[in-house]
Amino acid sequence: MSGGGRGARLACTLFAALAALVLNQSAFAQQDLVQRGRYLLRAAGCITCHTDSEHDGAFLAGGRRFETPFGTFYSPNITPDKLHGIGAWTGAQFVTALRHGIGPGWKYYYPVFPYPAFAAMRPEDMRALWAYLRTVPPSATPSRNHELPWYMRWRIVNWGWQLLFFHTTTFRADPTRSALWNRGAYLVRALAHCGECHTPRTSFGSLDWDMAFAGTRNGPENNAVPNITPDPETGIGSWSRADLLEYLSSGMRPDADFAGGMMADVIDDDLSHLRHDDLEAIVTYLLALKPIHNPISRPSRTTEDDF
Amino acid sequence: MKNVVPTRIVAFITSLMLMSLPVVGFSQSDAAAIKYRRAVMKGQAGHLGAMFGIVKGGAGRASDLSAHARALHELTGMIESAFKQDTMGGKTRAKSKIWDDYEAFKAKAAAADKASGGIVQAVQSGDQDAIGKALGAMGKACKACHKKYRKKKQ
Repeated sequence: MSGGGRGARLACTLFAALAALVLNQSAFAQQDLVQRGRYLLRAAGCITCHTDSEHDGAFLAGGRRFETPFGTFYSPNITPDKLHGIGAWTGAQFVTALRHGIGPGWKYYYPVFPYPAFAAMRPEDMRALWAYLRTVPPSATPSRNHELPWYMRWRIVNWGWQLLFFHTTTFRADPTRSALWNRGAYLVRALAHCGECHTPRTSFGSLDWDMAFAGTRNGPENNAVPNITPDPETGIGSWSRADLLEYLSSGMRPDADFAGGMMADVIDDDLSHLRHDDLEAIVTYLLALKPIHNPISRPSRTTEDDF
Repeated sequence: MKNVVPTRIVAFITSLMLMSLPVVGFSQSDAAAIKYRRAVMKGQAGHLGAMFGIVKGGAGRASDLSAHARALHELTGMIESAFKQDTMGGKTRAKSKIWDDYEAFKAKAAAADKASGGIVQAVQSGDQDAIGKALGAMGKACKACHKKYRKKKQ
């Protein structure tokens, strides 16, 4: 055998080994990404809004109904169905939807879709979410049209709303706070988007951040949403860490009553799937919020109206 | 003597008055039904909370677990009869869905009863792991019903 032939064979072998390593790595990396995306789906609460569980709707096929002061909305199908879902989207379009609240074809979203919160998600988390969403079983359920008053029917109102009330943001950790607090801040503000329900809105539907997490009488489903600031009288100030951790993982309140309504779905679909350390982070963040006295309903005291 | 008021008119007015009685009667028995079922449900929260207090909080006496478990099981057996009365419009968080399909409600109540029976068995076995699981399963049964049949606080 000539020296050149042996050298060429060696080079080919090395190249093949390297290629196998790289491809395997990328296969593992992709699997990793999908796994992370599966977890992030839970953390971001996508299931609760995008699955019509009350009518046994398919997973992420949309159709859940939201009655708001601005009209009745139906969540769209986000399965990878090419016609009825987001199967024809690119990853870049997905990121634009989250970061800028704009769908393909300049479709400006109504902020019922909490893109103002998701905008702060880290790019690698958005990519992981996208990777996972591609693996979800496609469902051919058509997305329902919203039922809106005439002045809300043109999406240009959303362009105007964005001009006044939204600019995209990125999450910046606070170096003066602990890692646990920062993880909690990211989970609460960018993923689980608790403020989207628990913070009151102005008459234009923008969040009133002066009253951050202080609850509102006009939540989704036209119900009251509790004050989750640590105010001792009207918020969660009398709850212990253990109480909060128990509640977020099982829905059981300090008086052993169990959450109902949409929050029960949020716990069942989303929060109860989070790792213990992530729940600890959320609790740390909530207990460090500025306590705001806002009597909406008292989470821990039972009242005459309990049953 | 001649009738001042024609008999037909008297009959009509009397029947109107008789018809109003059930309305008055209903709201009183509605209030009682609501109060009763509130007591039955709160009793369950009391015993379940006590068990969590013993198991997770280290309070009370472990020897009392079985009494709480049995009491809870008695109460879950009462859910169906406690909610039998359709109290439309009373001051209650019970959704009218309960009575639209009472069989479906009964099924959920039966599931809660089964779950509480599971706690009794687990406590009898003394297996801490099993007790924890049974308590968790009870919570799920409570939530499943509340999710569907109880309005949020206003």
